[in-house]
Amino acid sequence: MPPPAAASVPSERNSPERNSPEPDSPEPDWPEPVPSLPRWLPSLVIAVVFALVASGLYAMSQVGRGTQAASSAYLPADGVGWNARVTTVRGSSGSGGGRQQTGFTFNESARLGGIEASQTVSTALGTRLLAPLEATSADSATQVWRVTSVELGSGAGAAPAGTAQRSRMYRVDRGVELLADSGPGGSDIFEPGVRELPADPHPGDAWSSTGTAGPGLTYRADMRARAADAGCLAVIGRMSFTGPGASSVGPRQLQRTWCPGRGLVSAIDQMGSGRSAVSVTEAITTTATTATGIAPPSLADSAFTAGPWAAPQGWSRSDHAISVAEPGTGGGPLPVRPVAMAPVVLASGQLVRAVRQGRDLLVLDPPAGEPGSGGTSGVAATWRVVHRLHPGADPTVLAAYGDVVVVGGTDRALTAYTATGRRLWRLSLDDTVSNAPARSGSVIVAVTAAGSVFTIDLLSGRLRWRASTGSDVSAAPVATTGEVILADRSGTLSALRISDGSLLWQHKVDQPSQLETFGSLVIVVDGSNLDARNSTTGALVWRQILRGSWRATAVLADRVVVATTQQSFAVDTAGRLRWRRHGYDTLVGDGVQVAGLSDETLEVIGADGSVRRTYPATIRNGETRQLLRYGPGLLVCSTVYTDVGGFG
Amino acid sequence: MSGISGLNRWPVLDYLRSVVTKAIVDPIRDGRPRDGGWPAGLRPVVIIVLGLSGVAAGMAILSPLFRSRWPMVMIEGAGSAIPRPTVWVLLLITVVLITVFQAAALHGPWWLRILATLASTATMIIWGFAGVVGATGLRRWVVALPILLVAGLILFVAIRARGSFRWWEFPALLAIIVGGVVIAPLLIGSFGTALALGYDEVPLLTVQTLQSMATLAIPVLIAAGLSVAEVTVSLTVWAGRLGSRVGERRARRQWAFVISAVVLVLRLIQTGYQLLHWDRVADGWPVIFTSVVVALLLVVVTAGLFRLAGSSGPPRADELPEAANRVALPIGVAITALVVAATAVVVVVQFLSVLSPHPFLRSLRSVLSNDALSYVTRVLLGLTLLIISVRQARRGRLDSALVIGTTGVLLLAVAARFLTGGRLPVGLNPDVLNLLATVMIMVVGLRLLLLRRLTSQRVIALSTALVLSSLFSARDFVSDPIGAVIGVSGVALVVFGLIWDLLTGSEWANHPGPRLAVPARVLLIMAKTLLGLLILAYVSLARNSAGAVDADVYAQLGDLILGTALIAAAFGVLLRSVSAEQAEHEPELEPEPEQEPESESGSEAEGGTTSTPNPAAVGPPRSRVIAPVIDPD
Repeated sequence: MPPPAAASVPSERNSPERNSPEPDSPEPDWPEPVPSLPRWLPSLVIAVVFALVASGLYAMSQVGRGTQAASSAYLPADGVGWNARVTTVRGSSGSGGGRQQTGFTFNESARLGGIEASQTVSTALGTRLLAPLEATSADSATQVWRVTSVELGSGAGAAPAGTAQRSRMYRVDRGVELLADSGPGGSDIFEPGVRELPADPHPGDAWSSTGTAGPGLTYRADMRARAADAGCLAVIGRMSFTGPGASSVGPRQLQRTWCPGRGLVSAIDQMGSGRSAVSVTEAITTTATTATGIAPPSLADSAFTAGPWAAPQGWSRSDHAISVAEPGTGGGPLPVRPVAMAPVVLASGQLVRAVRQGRDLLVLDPPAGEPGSGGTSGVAATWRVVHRLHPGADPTVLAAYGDVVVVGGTDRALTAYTATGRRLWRLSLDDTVSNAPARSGSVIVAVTAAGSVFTIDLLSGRLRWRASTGSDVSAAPVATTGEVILADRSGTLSALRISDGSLLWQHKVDQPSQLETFGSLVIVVDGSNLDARNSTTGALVWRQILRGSWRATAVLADRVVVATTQQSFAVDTAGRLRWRRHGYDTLVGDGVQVAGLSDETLEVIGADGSVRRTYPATIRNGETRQLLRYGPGLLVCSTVYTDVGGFG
Repeated sequence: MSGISGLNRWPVLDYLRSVVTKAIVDPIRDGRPRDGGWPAGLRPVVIIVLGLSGVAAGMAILSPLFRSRWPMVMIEGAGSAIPRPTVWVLLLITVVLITVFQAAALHGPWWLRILATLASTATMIIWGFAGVVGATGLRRWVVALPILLVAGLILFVAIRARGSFRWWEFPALLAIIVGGVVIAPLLIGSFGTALALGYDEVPLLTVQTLQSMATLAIPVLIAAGLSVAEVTVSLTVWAGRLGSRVGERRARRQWAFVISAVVLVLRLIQTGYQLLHWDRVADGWPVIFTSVVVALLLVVVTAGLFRLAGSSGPPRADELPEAANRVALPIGVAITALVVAATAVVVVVQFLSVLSPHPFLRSLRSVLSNDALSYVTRVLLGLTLLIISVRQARRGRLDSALVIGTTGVLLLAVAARFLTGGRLPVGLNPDVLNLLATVMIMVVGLRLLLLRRLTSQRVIALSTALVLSSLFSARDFVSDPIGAVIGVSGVALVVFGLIWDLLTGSEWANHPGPRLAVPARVLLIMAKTLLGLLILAYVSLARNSAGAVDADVYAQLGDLILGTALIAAAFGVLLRSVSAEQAEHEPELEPEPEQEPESESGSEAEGGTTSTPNPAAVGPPRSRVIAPVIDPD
């Protein structure tokens, strides 16, 4: 056996000279330890400084959260929703002559910062709220409990479903004080607020509050508390008014029941006496929807969300702001900032948009005169806020299916609402949902960031089955007639049977980031490839090269159009390239043609790749724009600005 | 106990222990940072950094638990949410990391001092000026405090630059930097203001700070991607080498053939399975063509480097992981720096085209893109590495030359699609490359068999190559075996890579250099690990790159380029040793420092070969001195 070459040549690592200290620095250059310095002192100092820094940073990360009075224990948490039965009796009920009217409302609890709460209403109302909130500076630590109520539309004489919301604002950092009650009937603002609960309420307590209740009108409220069942607090009191308009308001007898964590479980306001007496009883109920037989929302698409565009060559451009109507305050623009998330269009023609202030979803009616406005007499040329939905967390995903809007939040829950503002269901999951759930008939398939797959009945919120992909997902799932296709970040493409969640096929891919169905194919954006796979077997049918970063995909009748930062192109079902153009920021199609948006223009492109019409559409500083199909035209929404551009 | 001592008692166990010792324990023993007379105050800093590294790794691994239990906060603009209670921990790690970097750079070269000072001041400015815009009255003057602290930091750096390490520097710098971060927001009350307006500003600023330093983590993550290939090659080669020692004994030679036959059958089954599941669309002729060209290039480059090295002879395959470890970080730095430079070019061109509607600028803007320039830079870097590999080979550093040369080829391969203008679906499929390697091994083995020259040593060398081939085919599992358990893809790979790199690649920090003393080197090594784990923790908690970098993607890139290159180089050395009638196992097996005399004698008796005691091996640990072309000094 010949000696190995490596043995005959000293290896670098065994070379003695390599192991000796480098000649230019033979000695350490740090100083010799100072004899007088205790050995433990440096360690102690460093440990103490580190501990101080750690605790200081922790304290800093918690500052500014405001104070919570003990009375806040009686309030429901942020995002809690409940149904209430509202009974109004006019005239003397004791003699049997009173006229009774029963309706149901859906209510949501929002716990907001004071300034933030003032920004969830119109500028006019918000400005008036600043005084009772004592929010003289931006760092005001006042806290607000907001209750929004929407009529569910039942009972003789009850308001129809979808009527504009009622909002009640309570200041809660020093007790519970009613600041404002704004609804279709008008707005009452109390300065300071009517003290419903003191800071630390106990049975036997009595308290009073006085203030103004509008121009020339002052109020005085005297309340006292006694114990009620289940740890609740029964509060009774009287509220009287003085001033020029006091006779029209009259004194009120108040009865309240506050329960820990549940809020105001019942409230009775009695005004007047004899024939002019009005008694309003509002109580939490769990039977609102079954008792009233409210029709389920439609899951079908409408002309707003499907169907071809009418005449894209003849569109005109319009820009609309967002406003809110608050009777009694004048309404006006809404000082909110949108969340960087694409709004969704409901089959009813309403637009649902997530905004930062209040973590609300605004349900917007289209400008008067626009298709779908429903004849509402809103502020001209503005999208009008009709509901504020408050799931109680920052939204992570927003999707619409017919007249149902589904929102996922940082609270790891999915919440569904109808177009009328009623909460359909709420389902807690194991992690957040960041991709729009796929829909198949009346079920949706949602995938959480933990890789769990949930199939949920869209109307009831009932969980059909649950599965796991084993890794965090990287793309929104898509559904075909019988299966849902998922992509995870470990590079696995999986198809599950929608009926039972069983695995149909699985393929290893590279970096899947987008999925789209295209007839019997599923289109996968996989790294720098655009793959078409057979949705039944998962087999790769064709592959196209993606140049640039993917931006959008639109499916037409016989071809799929893909836009990247560098190019856009159309490929038919056989994988043949049909045309190629420059890239777009985003594009959307109507099944026949596509509209591509770039920094300067909106281009309508036919299926053959020809440009039918070019419209100016200059981008503004810092914004990213989303294109939404809207009836015969398009909406252009911004991640920064609240206004909505329209082509139609 | 190492080597093959004690084989007569529990031969299999001793064999496995020896393999693990050689492939795992020895590199850690030689490559870890060692407290060899560190100055006062360095050890507690290292303990703090190691502790925070453990916290960061724990946050990454336990991120599914945290995400499912703790309140989440949305990161506006990043499109993701992170558990709110982890925010202050991320912030703490961030400021400690910046402080460690600043302390390390304090007595280093001027460019390092500037870089560290920029990182520190950027963080202080991000936080210190966050709420100043909305401040009113006297609070507006609070802006003076972060300015004073930034000035104080710069003054501190200027004063201490000429001195040497002192124990109080770290706590002083920590106090200044944290002061710059917290004082102004607390005095202005900007966090309270933001909350009143509906914004939780602490997570936003924390993430903004993380995003600003994420690019620095890319080289670390690319280098971490090499670790699995490093361990795979090391374990396989040492298993082969020690196995060949066993196989040398006449009584055990037949076992070498039996085991090799088993390996061959397993590899054939694996190959058959891969062929049955061959995707003709994804891996059509353009991919096969590319892979064949790359394989030929690898053969040509490897053979050329062997030829250039001439009399210095081939290196041992077990030396290659160490060589790859040495070049991984510099190559990662080069890839990142070139991409950053390319991005800067794109931004400048876009900016100029906005200012001036000149047709040339418009056309330039349409041609230049981040993707295109990224590919161009990879091609340029690949060619540069090939040139460097030639120089290394001529200097007799064949192990480094092979790793650098094969890395150069792999960089060209990943840019293959760009070379066709994006018109052909060409691309490298490592499985095709691996298949070709298997075919090559079998052809060599068959030829030797027909020539009746297939000795037990050669068959073990070929089997070693086959095992490498098999493990390479199963690299998805090998690189991320517990990904499914953790639920976050790639976390295990990156955590393992970063820790392995710290444990085996820190020898550089145990010796002073002309520009960096040991304390600075130790702190830099620690900062490197902490940075990688911090970014990993963040992206794991956020579940996507969240405006930072996708740790998994860069680690996979490192695995693809550096890992594949290392395995290709190992193939080259193994096949070379077989064809040149040189057994891979022959070099000495160094006794361990703690080796007992009777074990050593036993080893020699059993092995039948007398190992030459190597004083260097029992003295100071093996050197990982970085070659001149990649020396960061």
